[in-house]
Amino acid sequence: MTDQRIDSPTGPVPAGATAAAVATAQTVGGVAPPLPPKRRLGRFIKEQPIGMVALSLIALFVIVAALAPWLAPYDPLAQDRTAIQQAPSAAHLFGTDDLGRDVLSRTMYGARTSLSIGVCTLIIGGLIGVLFGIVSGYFGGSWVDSTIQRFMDALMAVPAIVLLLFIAALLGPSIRNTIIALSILLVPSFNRVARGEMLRIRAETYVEAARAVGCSTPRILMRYGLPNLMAPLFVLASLNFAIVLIAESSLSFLGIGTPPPTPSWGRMLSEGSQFLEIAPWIAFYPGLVLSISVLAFNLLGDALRDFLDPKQRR
Amino acid sequence: MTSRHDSAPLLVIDDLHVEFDTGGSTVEAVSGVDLEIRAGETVAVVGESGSGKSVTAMAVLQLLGNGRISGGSVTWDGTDITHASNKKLRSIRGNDIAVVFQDPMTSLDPLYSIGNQLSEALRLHQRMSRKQARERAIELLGMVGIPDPAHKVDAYPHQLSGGQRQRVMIAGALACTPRLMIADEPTTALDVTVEAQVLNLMRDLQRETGVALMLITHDMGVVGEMADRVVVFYAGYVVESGLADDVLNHPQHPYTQALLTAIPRRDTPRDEPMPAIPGTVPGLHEMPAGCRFITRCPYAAERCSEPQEIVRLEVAGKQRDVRCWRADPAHRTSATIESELEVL
Repeated sequence: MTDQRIDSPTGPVPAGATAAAVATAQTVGGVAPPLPPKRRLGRFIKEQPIGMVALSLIALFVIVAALAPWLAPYDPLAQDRTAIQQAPSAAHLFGTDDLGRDVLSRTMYGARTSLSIGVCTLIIGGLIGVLFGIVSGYFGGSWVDSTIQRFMDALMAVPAIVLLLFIAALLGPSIRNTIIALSILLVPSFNRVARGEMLRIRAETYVEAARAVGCSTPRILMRYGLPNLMAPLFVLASLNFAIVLIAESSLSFLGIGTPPPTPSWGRMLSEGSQFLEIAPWIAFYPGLVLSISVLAFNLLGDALRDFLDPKQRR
Repeated sequence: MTSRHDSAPLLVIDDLHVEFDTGGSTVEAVSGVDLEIRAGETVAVVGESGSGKSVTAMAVLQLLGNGRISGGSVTWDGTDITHASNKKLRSIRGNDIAVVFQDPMTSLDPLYSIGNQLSEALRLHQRMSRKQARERAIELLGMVGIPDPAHKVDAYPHQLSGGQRQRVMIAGALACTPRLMIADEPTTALDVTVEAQVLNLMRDLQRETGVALMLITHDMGVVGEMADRVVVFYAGYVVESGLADDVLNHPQHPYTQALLTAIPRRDTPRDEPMPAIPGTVPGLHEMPAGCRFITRCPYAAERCSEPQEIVRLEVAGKQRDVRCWRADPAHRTSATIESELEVL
């Protein structure tokens, strides 16, 4: 969240301030001068050590994913016929798969695929869900609200995996289509949270005050609605990220997500599952990394929830 | 205090009706309110909770939520704005007519600095730049007596006391130099000493800027302090209106009389129950067809069950409207003769 303070020199009181009004200024209780910009991250580290560990893990994954071309010891697609299904060794830390590809390099590149699909999905699904959510909440109880909510109900009534299979099968396997399918999966949850928060916010006096000042509805939604409902959305986003990671892997595992040869954790699991008895490392490492990142996002979500909930503090 | 009866009215509310939808049925919260405000004057609107005073005020700007104006008209500065477009209304809100709400603790968005929120009206209506708006915000804070405004402009609402927040709200209301300020029980949430400061401030600012004030209150003391004229609401319509001093000293309508008797005074006996009006306001679904005060009025008679029209009196050259047939000189009874004798 950006801090909006403008650091300006303390100018003299403008002469326009009228003496008569200032005369009535018998101070109403001394109030401390504005606090310095909040050190949110510092406070987060202190109050949520587990969340901080989770955040560090996620940061590590993101860095590895971003720097995969430089960090990976091998080309993730290069097949080495002389090193097929080799157990982890100094040359191949995570071993090699049935085509002689380096599992470590593929896991690193797989992080790229999985994380970028996750980010895109959160952005698209989040935007659509939140947009409809705040409109729905602001007009709560009206036909606009009912229409949007019945549509969301319909989406939620279908089991996630069926919905995903349907969309993916309809559109065909590709990264783009995986993102579309997963975004649609996320829309209802973002929608529900945003709507609920907006229902609360629209009853606040400051929204009425904003209307009384002449703000239009879009301006109220964007300037007063959105910023005030960001906190629960952050929590939801990190929990949803974990869901997306698993859903993406499931789709890839079933062969309708990320198409080969692009490495993705789910596809690697799927390919490695055939050799679990003779070469367990092919599936084990991507599975381990997937589990750790899902756990990390869940822990981060919990930590954020506690951190951002004002009732848990003071 | 001088009244400005000769100038043309700024705001005219004529036979206003407001309805609300309540899960299937509609109720009429305001039924036939007439009200005028002239430039620069202070009109106090008094009445119990639910008597329709706030709804009337919000109907002026059509900030009614799920309610709507179902009859009558609102005329602002000669233009009928009852059916004005949203765009037109937005250009009036905050610019020509500003509102100060009851609870300063929740009227400010906790996420923005007060300077930022003061700038809102300026940036919306006067297309000021960020920098200009900030300058003006500092000036406004100084005007409403916030100490060290150049610093306080960056403060967040939680860093201010209730009285200071209400000052900020008033500053925000005055930002675009409106011609009418609607203050909806501006001091109800404040303690008594702060209340006095805020009322003084409003009076001073009114003198300087010439803004008219529609002051909604249920405190008769505030009416006496602040108002040029007073309008008394009961159960969704006006029962009496006139010059504040006259109405307070010589109330004509039985409700106004009862209301004024209910104010505890220093000589009110302490060991006796507080004087109060017996009964409660009838619910919106069970409004009597005739006088709405009939269920609680000590003078209730047969004639009271007919719909009551406003009786316009000229008492010593001053106009007084009373919604009670007894006030009509043609039908005076001992009860009203008594009070009229006092006036004369």
